[in-house]
Amino acid sequence: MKCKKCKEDMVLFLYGELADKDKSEVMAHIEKCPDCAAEWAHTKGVFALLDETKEERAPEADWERCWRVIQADTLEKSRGEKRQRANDERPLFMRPGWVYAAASVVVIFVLGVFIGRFWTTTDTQTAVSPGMQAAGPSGYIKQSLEDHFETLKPLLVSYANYSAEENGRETITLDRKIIKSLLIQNYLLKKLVVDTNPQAKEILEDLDLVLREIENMPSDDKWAHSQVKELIHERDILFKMDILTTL
Amino acid sequence: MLYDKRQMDETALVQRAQEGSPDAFKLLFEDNKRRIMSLAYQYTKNIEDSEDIMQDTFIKAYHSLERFKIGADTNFSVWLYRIGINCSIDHLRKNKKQKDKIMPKDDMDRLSAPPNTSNPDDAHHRREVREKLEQVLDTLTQRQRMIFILKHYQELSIKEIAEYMDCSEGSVKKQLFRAVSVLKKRFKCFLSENRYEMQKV
Repeated sequence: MKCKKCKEDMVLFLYGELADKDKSEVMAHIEKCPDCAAEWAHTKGVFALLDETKEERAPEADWERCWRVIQADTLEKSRGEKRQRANDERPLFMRPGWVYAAASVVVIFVLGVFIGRFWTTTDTQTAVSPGMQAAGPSGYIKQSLEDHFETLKPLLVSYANYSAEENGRETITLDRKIIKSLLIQNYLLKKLVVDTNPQAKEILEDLDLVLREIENMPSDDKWAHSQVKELIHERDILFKMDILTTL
Repeated sequence: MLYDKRQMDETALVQRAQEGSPDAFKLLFEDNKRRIMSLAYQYTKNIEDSEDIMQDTFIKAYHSLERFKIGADTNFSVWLYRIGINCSIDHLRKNKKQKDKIMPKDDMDRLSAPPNTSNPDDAHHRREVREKLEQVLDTLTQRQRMIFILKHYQELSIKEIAEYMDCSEGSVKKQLFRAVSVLKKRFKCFLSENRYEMQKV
């Protein structure tokens, strides 16, 4: 055995990382090499010195404070990530931008119809197609209701099919501005049908309840999601919407 | 819902934590906090740094939890310990300049007075050794320092260290030998002085 190898092996020897055969080789070399014997004595001396500091144990940390720091960081970030993930994984038609755009189109349409019907002159009324004219105001309202239901349907279906177990940590997150816009649209339509169509009024009132629930719920609250789901099922909203649009 | 630690093994806890249960993650924290703290403290010898490293370790683990794949050949504690090693190295690297400042007195006192030490000479001697050791460890690379700590103080095997540090056993041996060589060289004078003092007594 060479001195260089012996000096390396004596470190592994003291750390208990050497096989018995290699240990014997090291000891045999040390016995006949005074240089390595001196190195062996010095290495053991350094190890003994270092071992004196081994007893030092890590002091007790302020575990509660540490946990609070960890908790604050992890909860804060996971909320933001969840929101982002829900946004990314939601089907294209469910993303806030699309819903918002669709809602805006419907609101403009409803307002247009409303204004066109009551504030235009006789001349402009003649420009309306004969079919539409024949349908009268109730035709415009029916069309607006259908558009409104079409906009809301994907959202309601998502909540109606929501399952905390299947969806795991995922929750449905929507921009509050969109919900607000849908609520306004719902309110306008309700005003239009309040005296003429009691069935539509009833559904719009139910929808108002659901939208308000969604508006007020925390984004990561699975329990609130289930509440909305129950509300949709309890009041048969989807079924009533289908019936009303087919009539 | 609070989970009973006894009823759930580590895998089940990890699974629960991955599903978003803060209680399960807290139990994982309880199970592993001392081990990470011990590593960080042996590495930095500073209680505040150690607490920071421990917090960073758990925060990083939480955010990477989804990437941890539960299986027969994976172990959460090993995975977490590896994060702890990386956090410790990063922390000390970032705070190298700050580390150069004198160690706070309370930390030094704590180091020099381990439990059951009644002899002030012992405490003084221990403090001297610790100071010297700190000086020598500061001259090592972060990797050599970590390998030495893992071997000498955490008492891990070369194989385990290689696994944690993601390198070969040969590389661990080489780095360990270098670290010990530096220590031996720097402690040479210290040991001779010590022997002289002992002889005088």
